[in-house]
Amino acid sequence: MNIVDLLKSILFVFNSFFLVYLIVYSTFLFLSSIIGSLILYRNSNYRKLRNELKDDYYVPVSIIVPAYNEELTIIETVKSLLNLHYKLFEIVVVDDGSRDDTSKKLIDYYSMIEIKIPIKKEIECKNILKVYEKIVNNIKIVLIIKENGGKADSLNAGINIASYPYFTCMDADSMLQVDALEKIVKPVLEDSNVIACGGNVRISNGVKLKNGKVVDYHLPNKILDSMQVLEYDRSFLASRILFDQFNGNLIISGAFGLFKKNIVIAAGGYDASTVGEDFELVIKLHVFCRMHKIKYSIKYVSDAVCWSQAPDSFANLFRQRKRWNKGLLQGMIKYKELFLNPKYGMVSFVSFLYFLVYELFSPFIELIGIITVIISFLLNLLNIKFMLMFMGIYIVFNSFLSFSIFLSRLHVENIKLSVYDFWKALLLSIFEITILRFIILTARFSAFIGYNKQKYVWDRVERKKIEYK
Amino acid sequence: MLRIINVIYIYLAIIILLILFNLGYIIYEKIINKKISNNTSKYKKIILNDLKHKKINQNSIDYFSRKLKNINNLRAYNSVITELIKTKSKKMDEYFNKYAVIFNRLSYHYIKYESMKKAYFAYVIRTCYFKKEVASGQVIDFIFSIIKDKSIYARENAMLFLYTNGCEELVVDALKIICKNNLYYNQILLANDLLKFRGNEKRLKDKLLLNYDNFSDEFKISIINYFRFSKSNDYLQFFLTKLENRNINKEVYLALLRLFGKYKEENALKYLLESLNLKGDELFEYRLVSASSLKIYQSDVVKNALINALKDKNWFVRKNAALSLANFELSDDDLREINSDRYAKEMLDFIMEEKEVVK
Repeated sequence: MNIVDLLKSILFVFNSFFLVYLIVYSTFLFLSSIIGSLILYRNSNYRKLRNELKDDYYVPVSIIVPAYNEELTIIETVKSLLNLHYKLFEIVVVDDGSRDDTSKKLIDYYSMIEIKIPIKKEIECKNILKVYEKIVNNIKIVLIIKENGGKADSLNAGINIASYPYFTCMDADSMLQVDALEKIVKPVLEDSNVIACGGNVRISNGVKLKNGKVVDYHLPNKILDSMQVLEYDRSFLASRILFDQFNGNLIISGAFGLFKKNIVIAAGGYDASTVGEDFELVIKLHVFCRMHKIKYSIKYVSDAVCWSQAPDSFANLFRQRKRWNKGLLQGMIKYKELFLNPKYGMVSFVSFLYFLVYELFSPFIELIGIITVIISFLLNLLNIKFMLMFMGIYIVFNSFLSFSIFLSRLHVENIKLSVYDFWKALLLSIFEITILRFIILTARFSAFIGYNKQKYVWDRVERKKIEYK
Repeated sequence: MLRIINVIYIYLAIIILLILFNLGYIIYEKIINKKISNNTSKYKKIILNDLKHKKINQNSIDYFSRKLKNINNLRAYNSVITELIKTKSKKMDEYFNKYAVIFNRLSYHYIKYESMKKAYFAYVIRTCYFKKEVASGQVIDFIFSIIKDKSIYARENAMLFLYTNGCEELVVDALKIICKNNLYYNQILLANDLLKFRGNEKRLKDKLLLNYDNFSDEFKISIINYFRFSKSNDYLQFFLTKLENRNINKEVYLALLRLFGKYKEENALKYLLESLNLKGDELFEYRLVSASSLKIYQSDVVKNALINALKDKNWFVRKNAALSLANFELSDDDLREINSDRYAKEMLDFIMEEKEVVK
């Protein structure tokens, strides 16, 4: 066999692999979106036909809000939390050594009083310097001022001080929909084995919210933001619902999740040495419960909604996705035992494998794919007509898929879409699958560059002042 | 290669179908909503007309018995009665008494439907607030047919019907079925649901206690919590006898300790103090709960026991003891003893500060 034949054989293998990779990905997306849509419609019917558990005294919940330099958003965030339709909760704001006036704003606004609370450090966290407290409308607001230790460390400090058996974590720049707590605790009422529930994170750019309710829905003006709306919908409503069917969710977004406190404490709390603390915690809970033979369930609640700001510049988006992939890498290295391990069942063979191949390594695989195509083209080994047709169909397929999921979501939530936004979404679904995907792939790729030096660096996204009515 | 393309084409076609399905479903929903809205107006007229007349309108019975077999018509009917109950509650009571036969007939049909629809029918008949004298055998048969349903929502709606219906025997029978079949009923929900019982509360409590030993530990905890949440303390003697045996399930025993922290019963003091003095890390929950419950037992013996508990190895026991002590008058000697222990002092200082914040 001469060198050209060898090269041809290698390229054939690569081309075939690349083709199979795309087909498997499309199949996954296809199945997950079909199942996701069906379950969304089923849930919508449940609501219409009053198939729900309603109780005035749900499980008590501590809402932990880690805040670092959040002076622009913190008051609005706490105000919005005080409006929640829920009877028994407290708000724990953790100021992670902010260099701005985050704490001062809160103390002044609510006339908070310093208390000398003895703290039981059930999970390790940096020193807590001061604690303030105030009861507003029968809801306790606690402010913890601590030494800087990162988001995970702040959450651990919040858990140490939280009074209630369940806690939710959320970002200081996010807003919970008025019924979000009521919805996210429902799985706990339905099944005693539920140890964690993930909420649905939506992009608030372009949406008008009043007292925690959507009053006007539009796609954001900026194209980048709009594309992220489509992307969020696809990832939340498709894959998470599918993984939920076999208790295989590996991510509960740091922007909104509910956890059973004693299990999290027993498992060791959040890992402060990772930038993907949300991903790490969920995998840790899977491993912990399976190791100790604890019956457990981790649920995804699509109608428990948290509105979050999407990065509105390429630089911010790049930083955010780079951090996410770094966190993913750290989590997957730490729990490498989950790789093709029958002890973990579907969590290992479907969820972990999916995250490994289609999330973590996708930048490499797709880069190799592109290089292979270029070399094949140069060696005149490429069936260009076939390639263009394949790529075209692939793009149209994925665009339609995103668009279909977007429509399903709006419909089951009774959100009306203007004709303009309908066409805008349809058009942007094509750009989302091409341009946004390319940007995200590049950002993910950059997470590997200089990883050892920067693995603990939290790539911060700039915040804007939010004004929720 | 072309085969792969064919697969992609098939996917593409299905996705287009999915979009068409979405659009179709939106149109279908619009039509259904329009229909429900039209039927709502129509049903409202009929019911308002029936409310005006003392005599039962057989045509209405036949009409609704036929129409409400359809779930969307039932939705329309439900929206009408929900609205009318708010404005004409007494008249609606009479109406439901007179027209209960509609629901008896419908029960025959809904018993064959899928769980989701059964759950909705149970929800609607609960809205009608059938008193136990009115609810017929057919309706009760329907309710009991879904008590064992795999759908937790169907079971919950059936139980809510029974609480509203107000027949203690049916409630306890249903609970026994759920318990016997090992079906899940959230502890908090069960305790709170029992509070919704609209019949004779005393008779329900008697009946629950009569069957107490037949229930699982989870149910016993809910029942104890129900007695704790309800406003009467007539049954403490019964629970006192249960407190004598500390070998029962730990969570049940803790629920009993909490009950005696809400209602004072001097004879329970012995057990509370015993629990506070239990040694060993694995028994800390007994100390924890009794430290909290003792706050209503004002005496020097209790005060000294709580001061002693401020030095407990377990942080949470100390916290609860401090919380309870905040309700006691502390002498200079007491304070000196507390101040001699750093943890105890820290904890009590915090509780006092916390009380200021609440003020």
